[in-house]
Amino acid sequence: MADFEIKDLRASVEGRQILKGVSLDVSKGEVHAVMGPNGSGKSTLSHTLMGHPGYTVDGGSVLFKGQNVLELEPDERARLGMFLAFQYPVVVPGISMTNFLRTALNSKRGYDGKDKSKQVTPKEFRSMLKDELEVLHMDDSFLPRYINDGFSGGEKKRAEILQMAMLRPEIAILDETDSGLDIDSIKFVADAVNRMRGPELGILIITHYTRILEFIKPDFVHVLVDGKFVLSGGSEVADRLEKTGYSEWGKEETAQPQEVA
Amino acid sequence: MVSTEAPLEDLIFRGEPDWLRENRRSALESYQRLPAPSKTDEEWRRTDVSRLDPSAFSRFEKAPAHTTMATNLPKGVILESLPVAARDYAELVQPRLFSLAQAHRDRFTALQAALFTGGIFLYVPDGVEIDEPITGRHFSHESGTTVQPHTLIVAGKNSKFNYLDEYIAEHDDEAGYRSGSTEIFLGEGSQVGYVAVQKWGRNVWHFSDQRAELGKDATLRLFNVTLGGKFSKTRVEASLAGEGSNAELKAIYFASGEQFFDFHTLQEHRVGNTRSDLLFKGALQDVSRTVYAGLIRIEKHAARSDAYQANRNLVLSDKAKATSIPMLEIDNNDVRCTHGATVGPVDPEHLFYLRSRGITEATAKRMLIQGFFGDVLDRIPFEHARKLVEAELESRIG
Amino acid sequence: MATVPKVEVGTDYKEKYGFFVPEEYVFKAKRGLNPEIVKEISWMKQEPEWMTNMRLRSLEIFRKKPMPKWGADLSVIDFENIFYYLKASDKQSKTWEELPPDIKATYDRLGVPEAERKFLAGVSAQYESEVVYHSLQEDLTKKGVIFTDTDSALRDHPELFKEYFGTVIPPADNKFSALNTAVWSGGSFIYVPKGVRVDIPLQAYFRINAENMGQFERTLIICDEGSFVHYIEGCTAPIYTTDSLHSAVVEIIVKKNARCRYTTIQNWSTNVFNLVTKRAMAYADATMEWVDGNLGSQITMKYPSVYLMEPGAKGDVLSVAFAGKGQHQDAGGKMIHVAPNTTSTITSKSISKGGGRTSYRGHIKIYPGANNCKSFVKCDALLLDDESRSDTYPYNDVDAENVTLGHEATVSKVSDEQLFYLMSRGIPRGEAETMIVNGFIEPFTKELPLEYAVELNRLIQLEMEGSVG
Repeated sequence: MADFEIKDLRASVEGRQILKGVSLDVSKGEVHAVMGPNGSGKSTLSHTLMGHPGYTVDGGSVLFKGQNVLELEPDERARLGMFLAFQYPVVVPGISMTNFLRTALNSKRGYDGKDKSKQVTPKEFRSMLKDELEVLHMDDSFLPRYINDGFSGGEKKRAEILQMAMLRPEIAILDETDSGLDIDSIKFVADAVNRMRGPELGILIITHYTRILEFIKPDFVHVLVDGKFVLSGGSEVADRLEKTGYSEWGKEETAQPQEVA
Repeated sequence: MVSTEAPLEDLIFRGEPDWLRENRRSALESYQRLPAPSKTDEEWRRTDVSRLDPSAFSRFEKAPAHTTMATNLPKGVILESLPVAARDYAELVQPRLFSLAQAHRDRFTALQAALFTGGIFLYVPDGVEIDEPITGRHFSHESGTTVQPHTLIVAGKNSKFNYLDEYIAEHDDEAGYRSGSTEIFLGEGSQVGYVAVQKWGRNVWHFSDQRAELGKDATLRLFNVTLGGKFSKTRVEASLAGEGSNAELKAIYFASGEQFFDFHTLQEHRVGNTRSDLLFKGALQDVSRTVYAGLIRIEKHAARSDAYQANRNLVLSDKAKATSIPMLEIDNNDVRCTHGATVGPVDPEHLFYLRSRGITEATAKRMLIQGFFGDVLDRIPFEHARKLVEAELESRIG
Repeated sequence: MATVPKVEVGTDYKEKYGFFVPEEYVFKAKRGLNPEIVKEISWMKQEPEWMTNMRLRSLEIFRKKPMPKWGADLSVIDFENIFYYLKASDKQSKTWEELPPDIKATYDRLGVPEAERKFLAGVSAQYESEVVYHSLQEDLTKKGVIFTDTDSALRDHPELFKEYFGTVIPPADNKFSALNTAVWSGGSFIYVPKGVRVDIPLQAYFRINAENMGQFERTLIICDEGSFVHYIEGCTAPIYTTDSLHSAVVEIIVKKNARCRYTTIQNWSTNVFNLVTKRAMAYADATMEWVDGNLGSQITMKYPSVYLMEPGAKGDVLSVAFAGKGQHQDAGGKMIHVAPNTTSTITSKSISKGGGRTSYRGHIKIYPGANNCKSFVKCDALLLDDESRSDTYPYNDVDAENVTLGHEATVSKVSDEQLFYLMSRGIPRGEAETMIVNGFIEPFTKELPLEYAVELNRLIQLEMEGSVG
């Protein structure tokens, strides 16, 4: 039995069904890539898995640690060990990144303001943060800033990865983490993810392009078209897509981004 | 209120100089003559005072204000109860008292001018700087009473100081008639930080006029905090009368239960090279209501002026209601003016983002409220007041 | 009656727009306003009795209603010194050739035939009080679209007319809607049947061409379910020395899933009082868009409004005002959210110059029960010199739950940095300023058909040149 099982997941947005029966098993230690052209349902998949209120589940289940996570609130899913790196992290004015990270960590540890033994101490927090920033080659200048406020595209993605590193999920969904990034930033993010890779983490990379997969080698690749998987296999699937794009499925889109001149 | 002059003479006017007694009588006449605010008047259209009968609160609380630093003041500084100052420093008080908050403006300013009790007079001479903030604390003790403190501040040339007015109810459920008005005169080059924290009981009617006049190169940092009262009407007005003057007007309010808060603000740029920056932020819970109406007026010759005005409302309950009316009257083109207003609930995307990190809904909401107030709390002009306000807010957000 | 100084404009402008045509009127009503005049208008038009009675009732309402106490100063209007009805020609023309020569000359100069050649679906060109020229492309007729002048509509489509006339803006709505209902004449009537999309804009030109002529056109547009129409009303007017009153009423019904866009470029001469009531009712998932440009007139008071009657309705106002010397443009928009889940936006751009005054006046009203509504208002004002003035008065009344309301406004002058940049490339100051002003109103211009956009840029240029010379 896999650690994270998506079974016949169907979901819709504003009354229109986007996911039409998606099944996928992810176990810890594995890296899966979900690839698909525009409009295939990639972001619906990531948002539905994390429980975004704008997406309606029409059927199916997602089993993780013996629970159907589709019945859980987004924060409950996160505390259970799921993590979503957003494609477009929102700006939240007025809350510093530090405050945000500390509160998230405390929540994960079950600290509810009462049992002080569960609380992350300032010292512990500082040292964790310091370690992760070092690993990610990030400086601490953005910590006093408001969440994603005024961050560049690259900074936003790094901040997402920092959150992932701090929260130590067991299942991480990376939603188009490579979009809008130059090649150096992609390498950077990929290095960070590769360091976290290991027997305790299952990763689901959602992407339109094969590029990020050159840096994070997937064990399995699944092709999503019109809300269904049309092809699954090993990393050779990505190689095939790199050559022919999505034309096999009638979508005239390449799986390689246009080179920036 | 009090219908005959005799008890007034006994209660309030006694021992006061003739000019003040005369002014009070004249203001009382204004009160009796002025009509009740009408719904057709734009300022009162959404602000209902028809159920208020000031005479229902005919008992006056003798409310001497408590001040800090009354002893340890630099030479020449006057910090005195207002009626005493009116007697002992008439040359300073008489030309200014109720010259900014004018008695005939409406019934409630008239009442303030006629019957203010206690209150504080602060005079800081030219060139004097005071490091420690000065605090005026105004108390009410019982229900059914009238308490009307008034603060008059005169800042000499190049003086620099911070001042805090706190309006404190002994019992949170007190009903009555309350006020807390302030007139501030900023001399050339002076720098004044002023904070008012209104924590009257939840059942009182509260009226307040906070008005400042800024001389050349003067800087005012005013911060208003409104928390108490079932009805609270506050005017915050800055008149930029000297070139190079700069007024920062900030406020936060947190309305819950059936509270109704009304704010009228004015940024009056009378001369050029002046700057004003206003930000009023409020959160509303339960069935509370707030009204904000603000005007930036830039007069004909006030070139090279900058004015900013923003009102942001976070509506936390389906039944709470915030109205926001930001207005501009600009008579000169060499200016930069922006204003904005928003009214809306907690952004569901923000909530989702926080919850996706494992934070519970209640905690996430509380964080978002704190975050909402975060940037404006940073603008409280001095540490002592900032801590006080943060604590007050903390206890209310829960 | 106040005398307004003649406004100096460029000679090119005078030649193109500021011409006079000799008066040749078939019927000229007496000055002033009384039940006899109103009855005479109705009799001349051979109207049914219900309309005559409605006119008389409206006259009573007009007399009883006080003048508005807010906005611009209207005390100089002398209602007794205005002609309330003129008919320039006693017959309707169907083709361009049949038009009377002097009227034809007027439209030739305005470029009407050229415009028609390019993209006009139909022209309803109002000259004085009566629509005299009217052509409609055949395919529109086949689709069942009615595009006619309002007087003909009353005669030819009596049931449709009676069902909707005065339902959006009743006579008692305000003093000027009462006046219009009493003495209305001309205007456009459009009916678009279910599911029909009119892809080419329908246009009408309006002109005033007589001293003390009040023009009271009345427009009624009905977009049936799922239909679409874009109506364009463009106005230019010759220059006179005494006041003229223009008080139109425009009523629009946009039914379920339909969309209506109403574009106005108002350029009355600067002695005209332009007091117009424009209102639309938008039903489920319908969209109403007002694109409203005010360049001319001495005083304009105009606040196109949308009543959002059913869930999913959307209202949009895009407004541009230009106030030069002696002008006061008091304009804006109103969004009345009656139903939940409705959205509205108002975007206002204003330019004041040479002592002109622009005021944005808006009202967002959200009724109890109209929950989950969103409304956003954005006002930008440009002041071109230190004699001019700009005001912003946004009124908001929210009585519903979970409403998101935003208002943003800026007032500024032409940016020194932008001006310097353009000038450093060799562009003279005046031209650079014009470019920047045209850039400022670009969000408006880009919504206009190309011809109008060009004409508008040209008008802005003429207005800007006025200040240099």
